[in-house]
Amino acid sequence: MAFNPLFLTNLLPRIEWTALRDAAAELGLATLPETKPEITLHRQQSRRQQQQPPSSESEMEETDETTPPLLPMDTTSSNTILDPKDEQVLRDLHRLLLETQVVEGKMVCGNCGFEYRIKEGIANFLLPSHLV
Amino acid sequence: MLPTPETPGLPDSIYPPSEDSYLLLDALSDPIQISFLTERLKNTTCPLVADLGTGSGVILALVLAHAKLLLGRSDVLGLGVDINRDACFYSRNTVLANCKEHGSQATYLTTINSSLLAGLRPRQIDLLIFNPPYVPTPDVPTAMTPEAGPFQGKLAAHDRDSHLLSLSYSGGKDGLEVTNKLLEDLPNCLSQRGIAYVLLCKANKVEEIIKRILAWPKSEDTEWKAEVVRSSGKQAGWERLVILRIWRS
Repeated sequence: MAFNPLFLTNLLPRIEWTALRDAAAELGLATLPETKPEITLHRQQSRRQQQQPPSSESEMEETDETTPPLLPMDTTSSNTILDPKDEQVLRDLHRLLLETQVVEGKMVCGNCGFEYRIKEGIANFLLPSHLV
Repeated sequence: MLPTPETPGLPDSIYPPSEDSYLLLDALSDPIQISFLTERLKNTTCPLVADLGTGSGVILALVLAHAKLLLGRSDVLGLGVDINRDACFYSRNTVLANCKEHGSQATYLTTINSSLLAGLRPRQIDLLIFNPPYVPTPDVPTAMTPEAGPFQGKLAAHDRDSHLLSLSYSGGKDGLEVTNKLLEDLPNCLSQRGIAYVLLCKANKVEEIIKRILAWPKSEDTEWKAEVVRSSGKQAGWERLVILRIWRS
């Protein structure tokens, strides 16, 4: 799966940051910043112009017509201007969230200590009948 | 009409795609639902689709493989939830094969082995799809846990399969025990923009359910709505299966 900064940025609001940060550290995978970063992507100049309805012929010519405009929902394009620090965080997230799978392991409940097993990549949240 | 995802070599323990599954597929491919969902899900955060009782995975596979067409965007996350572990494995293959076949960029997370919404964070689901066990039965069967189930190691393969299969259709009293449990959790699990499509059968007291939902407490200036968006199998004037859309408006 290709690195996609826009997709990852749109994913950020969903992430329970502390939990992910702890899990990544426990697995020795990545050191994420302490707090969830606020990342804004900037479209390249030519694209921004292309997004607005062209007011004249000359403006049309200035835009790069070989690639489609970058729409908020269009995650296919990765042609965005990104702060290098933000890019590192997004690359770490890409590796963690999209390229890493727990195949065998367990999740331990922070409250009661119950262990939820992951086997062959499938997490089991079913409680044994005596605990239901 | 989008092609129904195929289910080669479906094990006996998993509910095969049937009239109810097709009705849901039909509803989700309806242009009216497509524009409704596209409009509701257009704001930045990637939408999360959860298919409860994923079974063979045909519904989740269709939605994810055609996310761009059906939901208006391709950066969609898909999660399956099934109480039957066999279905967790099988649906994974169905979804991944279909996404690959159709070159979809949607992200399939996994199918977790769980009962309804246990283990999920509240207010996360943007599109919830539920084809519940709706057949009225004396009881709802118990889940089969790998470590400590009452049936572990005692059932022959055939009994094991029929027990797992029975989880997919046995709805308890009025066929509503499992659906009611889900409905209770719905306000807590749906995001503010979230929409649920729940399949019911005529024996499930549809009108009563709608009335109940409309009376749920308001939140953030929105009221609950529930509407039958699809029905099928008219028998002697009675609609046998219906699909209820539930959302805040």
